[in-house]
Amino acid sequence: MADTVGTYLSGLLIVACFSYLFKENRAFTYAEHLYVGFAAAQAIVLGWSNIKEMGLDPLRQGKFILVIPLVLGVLLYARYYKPLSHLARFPLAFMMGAAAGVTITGVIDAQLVAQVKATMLPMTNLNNVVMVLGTASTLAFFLFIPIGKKAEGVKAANGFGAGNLVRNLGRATIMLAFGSSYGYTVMARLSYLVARLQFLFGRIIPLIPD
Amino acid sequence: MTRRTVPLIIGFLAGTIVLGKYFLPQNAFLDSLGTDVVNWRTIVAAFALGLGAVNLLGTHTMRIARKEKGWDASIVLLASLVTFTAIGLFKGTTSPVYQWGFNYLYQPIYSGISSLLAFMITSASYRSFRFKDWQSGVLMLGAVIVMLGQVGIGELLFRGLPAVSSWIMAVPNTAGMRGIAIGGALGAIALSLRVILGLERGYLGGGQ
Repeated sequence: MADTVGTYLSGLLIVACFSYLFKENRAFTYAEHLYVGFAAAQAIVLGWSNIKEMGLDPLRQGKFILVIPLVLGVLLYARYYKPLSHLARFPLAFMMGAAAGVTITGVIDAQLVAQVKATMLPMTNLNNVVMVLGTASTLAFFLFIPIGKKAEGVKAANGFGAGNLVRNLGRATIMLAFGSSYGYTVMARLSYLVARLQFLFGRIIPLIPD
Repeated sequence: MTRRTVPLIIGFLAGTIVLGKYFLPQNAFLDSLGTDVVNWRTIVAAFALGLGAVNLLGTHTMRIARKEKGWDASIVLLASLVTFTAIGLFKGTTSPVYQWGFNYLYQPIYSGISSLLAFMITSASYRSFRFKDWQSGVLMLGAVIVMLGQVGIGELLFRGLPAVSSWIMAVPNTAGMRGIAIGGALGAIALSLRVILGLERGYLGGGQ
């Protein structure tokens, strides 16, 4: 019974979402707010389980050092009490500092070293040539090639236009990458839409046979 | 001093300890301290989630109290927030009631809004795919080949299209995205270093 009600409710909610295509209306706004409320509830429940499992439970078992993050966490709420509001900066600074450290260590491993290593290919076939030149020219375009008015001097500065060549190659690679990613995203979103329509016209209004 | 310098010192120490664990030769004390700091951050961040909920509650309660435009939708938001927080906290996220809400309320709206993007993105492509210069031509060509390569009609038009589409995704797309990823990584490292060294202090807010 609960599942049947749920299935029809799902159908109604999907129709409420699609009603936005006509114009913004109450049904869409209610669905949107219901979603935000649920998402926030999920975040609170997840946050509480983190506090309990990583902070309160080990503290009860005698790991008193955990008083530090718990106090820092409570200090975040000092912003609501003006005389002590500056204390909310302590946990904020702690989070930012630790996050910066985690970002550096994570990015160096996963994004920098791994990606550079994967680009060090022997230039023995077309794929590898495109990969190496494409990656290098994209990077050069972002980091070293001046754009706008400054770009005017590039050709004059290097004499034979290597700067322009790298810039154009970089641009072409970026445009092809963005275009293909865009096309891929369109198709992914369309498959989402097809799945929803299949649900609506297969289970709610049975027009499509199983 | 306490209002600006102490937070900067705390941020510097937290960042340096995490970096020290990674870069310095293995040391049991530093390893455990670094792991602790990362775990503590998760705990503090969990408190920050509550801060977001308090803000949401405050904003929507005020909206209802003042009967501002859309106050009825705020009731839906608060009802959903309070109900599912209570169920999640007291019965657990694996309880049948919470799972029912997740499967029949949260998921359909999420997938409904996600599929709405199909319409938005299609209308955006109609507006952006104009053959103005060679760069916009390359952009359009990449998108059209990948889109046609993934549907049956593409293969009917040109037998090799799916293979070309796969090649574009595997080689030029990877090359471009890799270049962007490396550039982004360098930027993230530079910004993180600025945060640790206290040069970036916008997150502390204005005033003293």
